[in-house]
Amino acid sequence: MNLLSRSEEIVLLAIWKLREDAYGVTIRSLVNDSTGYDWSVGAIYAPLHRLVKKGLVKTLKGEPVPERGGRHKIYYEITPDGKKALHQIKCVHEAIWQDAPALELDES
Amino acid sequence: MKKKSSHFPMPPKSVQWLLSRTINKDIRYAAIGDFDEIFVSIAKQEGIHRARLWYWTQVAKSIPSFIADSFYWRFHMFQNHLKVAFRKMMRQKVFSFINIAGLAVGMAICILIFLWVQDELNYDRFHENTKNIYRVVMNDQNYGMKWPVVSIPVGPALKQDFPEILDSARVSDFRGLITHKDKKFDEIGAYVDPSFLEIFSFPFEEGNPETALSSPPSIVISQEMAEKLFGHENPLGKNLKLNNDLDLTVTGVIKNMPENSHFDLDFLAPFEIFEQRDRDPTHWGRFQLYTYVLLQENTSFKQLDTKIAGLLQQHDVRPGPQLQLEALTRIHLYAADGGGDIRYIYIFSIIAVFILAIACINFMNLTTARSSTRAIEIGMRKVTGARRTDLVKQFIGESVLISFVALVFAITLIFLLLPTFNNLANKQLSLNPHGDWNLILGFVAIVIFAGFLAGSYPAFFLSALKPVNILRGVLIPIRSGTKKALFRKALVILQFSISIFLIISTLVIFKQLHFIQNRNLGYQKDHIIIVPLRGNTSEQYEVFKNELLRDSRITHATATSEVPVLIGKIHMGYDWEGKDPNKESRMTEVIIDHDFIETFDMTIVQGRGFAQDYPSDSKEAYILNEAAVKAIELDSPVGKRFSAPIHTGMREGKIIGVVKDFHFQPLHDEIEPLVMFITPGNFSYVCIRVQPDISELSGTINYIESIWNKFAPNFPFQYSFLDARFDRLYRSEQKTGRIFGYFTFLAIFISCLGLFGLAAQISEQRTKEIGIRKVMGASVSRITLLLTKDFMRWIIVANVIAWPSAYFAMNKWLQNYAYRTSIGIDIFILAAAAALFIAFLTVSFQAIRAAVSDPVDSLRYE
Repeated sequence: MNLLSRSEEIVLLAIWKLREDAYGVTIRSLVNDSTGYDWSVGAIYAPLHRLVKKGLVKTLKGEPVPERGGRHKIYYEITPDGKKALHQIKCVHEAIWQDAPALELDES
Repeated sequence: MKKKSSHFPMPPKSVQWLLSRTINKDIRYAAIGDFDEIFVSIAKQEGIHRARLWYWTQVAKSIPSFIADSFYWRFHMFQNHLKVAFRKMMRQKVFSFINIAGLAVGMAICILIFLWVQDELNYDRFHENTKNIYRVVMNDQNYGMKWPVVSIPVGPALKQDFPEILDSARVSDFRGLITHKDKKFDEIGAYVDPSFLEIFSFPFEEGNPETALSSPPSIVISQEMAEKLFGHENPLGKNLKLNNDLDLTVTGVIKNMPENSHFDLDFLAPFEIFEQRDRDPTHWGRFQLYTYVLLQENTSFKQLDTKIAGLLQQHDVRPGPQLQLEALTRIHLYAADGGGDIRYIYIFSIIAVFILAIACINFMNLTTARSSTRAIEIGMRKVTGARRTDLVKQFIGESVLISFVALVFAITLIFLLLPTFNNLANKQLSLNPHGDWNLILGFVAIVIFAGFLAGSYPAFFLSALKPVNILRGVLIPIRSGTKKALFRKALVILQFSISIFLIISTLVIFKQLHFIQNRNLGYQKDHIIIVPLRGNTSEQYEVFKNELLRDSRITHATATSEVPVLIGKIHMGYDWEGKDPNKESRMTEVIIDHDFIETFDMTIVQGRGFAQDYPSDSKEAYILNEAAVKAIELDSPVGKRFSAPIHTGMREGKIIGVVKDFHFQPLHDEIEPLVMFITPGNFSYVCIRVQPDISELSGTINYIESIWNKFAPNFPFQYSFLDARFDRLYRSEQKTGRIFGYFTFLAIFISCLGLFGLAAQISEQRTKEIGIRKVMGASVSRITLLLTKDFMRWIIVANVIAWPSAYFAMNKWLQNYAYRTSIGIDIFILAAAAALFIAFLTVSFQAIRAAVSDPVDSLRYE
C-alpha cells in the first residue's frame, strides 16, 4: 500500500481526532490551528477528495443547515482501511524518528 | 426554504457561480456549503464587508487547488481511455490500418494544399511597407481593360501633385546581356528609380541602398549574379558591360529576390539611363512601364483613385485611359499579369476539404460499423456509472488520438511527396522552414477538426445505445432498413459522389486540353524555330535572312514584332474609307515581314499577300483578318484606303488582302480584329520554318547558330520552338489537370479503403447467413452478387448526385474559353463505369472471400 501524502495524513488525522464532528469547516479549523497556516478550503478538499476516492474515508449526509444556504452538512468518517493507513504512517514515523539525535534549534 | 436562508447574508452570486464551475462535482456540494457557512459566521462576527473580502480572497486561493483536483481525476479517466484506445487499435489491425491510412493520406493532401495556399497568399508580403504600396495601372474605358503600365512622367507627377503619395518608383524590365571580361550572362533586369530600393525591402548584402542608384553609371546586382560573375571576389566597384554598349559600376549587391515576390530581377540599373535613351520622355500617352507608389499610412486609396483618375487628360492624353491604384498584395492573385489565380485558391481549398471529408467519412463509417464489437464495453461502462457525456468524450478523444497517429504518418508522407508536389506546382515549398508556429497550430487544428468530425457521429450514436439491450445481446443492425444504416449509406454515397465529381472534372479538363492542342489554329505551329533578334541581326536582318535561306533544310524565314501564338499589342486611331467618325477603332497590330503568311501557311481569302515584287508593300499595304473586316463593316475591303498611326504620324495606305482568322491569342478569347503591315526595322523575332525531318533538326540548329555568331557574336544564341511556346500558354491548365488527376486518384483510393473496410465488416456480420445459404445450395457467384448488390446500388445513386453538379461546375469552367469542347455524355458514362468497376473490385474481394468460405466453419461460430 502506498504511503499517505503529508496533506492526506494531516486531513485524515484531523478527521480521526474530530470523531463525530468531522466536516469541512471543523476539519479546516483544526488543521489551521495545529499547523499555524491558513489552509484555503480548496487546499483541504483536494486531499479529502483523494482520501474518499481511495476508500480511506466515507461520507455521511448530515442535517440541512440554513447557514449553508440550506445545504446538508457532509460528514466524513474514517473507514477500517483509513485506520490501517493511519496506523501504518504512525509506525513509519516512529521507526524513522527512533534513535534520531535530539534536534536543537538555534533561536535566531 | 427561501425565507429561511434570507435571514442570512448571501455570498456574492457571481463568485459562487465561478466556484461551482471549477469544483469537481464529487466535492462541489460539500465545499460550497463550507464556504457559505464560514461566510455567514464571519459576517455575524465581523460584518458583511469583512465576510465578502474573505470570500473573495478565499475563492481566489482555492481555485487553483480545485482546478488541479479536477484535472487529477480527469486524467485518471483519460489514462483509462487511452489504454482502451490503444488496445483497440492493436487488436483490430486491418481496421486501424484502414482508418489511419485513409486519414493520413487525407491529411497529407490537406496540409500540402494548406502549404500551397499559404504560399500563394503570402506573395509580396515581406516588404516593410507592404500595406501601403500600390501599383499604378491604366484603366482604359474605351477597351474596358486594365493594363499595369503607365507613361514615363506619371510617377514623378503623382509624387509631386498628391501629398498622400510619399514616393513613387518607375520600373522598366527587360532582358539584358551582362558581360564582365569573358563572362556573359543573359538575365532579366530593370531600370528603376533610386526610390525603388526605399519603397521595397530588398535587403542589401553589400553597398548602401540610399546611394546605390543615384549616380547613373551604376548597377545593383543580385547575389547569384555576383557569384556567377566574380566568384568570391568583392563585387563592389567592379565594371560591367550591359548589352555591350553601357559601362556600369557595381554599387550594390542585393539578396536574391524571394520566390514569393512578383519581381524576379537579377540586376537593377538607374532609371535615368532609360529616360535619356527614350525618344520622347515627356510624352504622357505612351504607356510602357510599371510605376509603384508608397502611400501615407491610413490613406484611403479609393479616394485617391478618384483624384488621380483624370491626371492623364490634364496632360492632353485622348479621353479614355484613367489611372488607378492596385494594391501590391493583390497583384499576384488578382491581376492579369500576376501569375497566380484566386480561383485556383478556392478550387484547391474546396478539394482539400473534400478529401479530408472523405477520409473522415471512412472513419465514421467503420467505427459505427464496428460498434457491435464495442457494444459490450459501452454497456459495461454505462452500467458502472458512465454518463453519456463521458462516453462522447471517450469516443471523440479516441478519434482525436487516431488523428494524431495519422498526423505522424501524414507528415512522413508529406516529406516523401513534397518534391513531386513542388515539381507539379512549380514551387519551393517545404514543411515549415521558418519554425512558424501558426503552421503548427494549423496542423493541430486540422487534427482536432478531423478527429472531432470523424468521432462525432460514432460518439453520439454509440453513446445512445441502451445498456439493457446491449447486455441482453440485441446487436445493432448493420444492414439497410434502419435509420442508422441509412445515415451510413448516405455517407458512402457522399464519398463516391465526390470521387465521381472529381473523375468527371479531370476528364473534362483533359478533353479541353486535347481540344486545344488539336484545334486548327489557322496557321502551322510545327517545325518553326523562333530566334529573338538582337545586335546586328536586327539591323542587318535582310542579309541575315538570306544567309539562313541558303541552307536547303530551312524552307522559310520571316520576321515579326510578335510571335503568332500570342500577339497582344492593341492600338487605336485607325482610319479607313467610309469610316463612321464616331466609331471607335481598336485593333491588334503586328508588324511582319513579306513572307510571314507563307511561312506560317496562313490562308488568304481575298486579295493577295505581301510580295517583294510590289515595293510599295513595305510602305503602304495592309492585310486585315476576317474579324477586322467584320468590325470595320467593309463589303469589299480589298483596294480600300486604310491608315494606321505609327510614331511618325499616320501611315497612309490600302488594304491589299484579307487573311483567314487564325488564333493569335489563347483559346480563352474570341479572335479579335487584327491588322498586319510591314515596317522594316521594327522586328523582334525571326521565325524559321525547317524541314519536318527530325534527324536533321540538330544540324539545322547548329547551322542557324553559326550564322548567328557571324552577325551577333556578343549575344548568346537563343531559340525556341513555336509549338513549345504554344504549349506554354496552357501550362496552368495542364498543371491543374495533372493536379486534379492526382487528387482524384487519392480521393478514390481513400473511398475504396473505406468501402473495403465496410465490406469486410458486413461479410463478417453475415457469416452465418452466408453459411446457411451455402448449405441450402447457393452458388459462390450468387452470394458474391448478394454482397455486392447493395454497394453497387449506392454507387449508382452517387452517380446520379455527382452528374448534375459536375456538369454545372465544368460548364462554368469551360465558359473561360471562347473555343471549347462539349462535355458529352461519354465522359459521364466513363466516370460512372470507372467508379462502379473500382468499387466492384474492392467489394468483391471481400465478398468472394466470404462466399468461398466453408459453411462448416461459419456455422460452427456459435
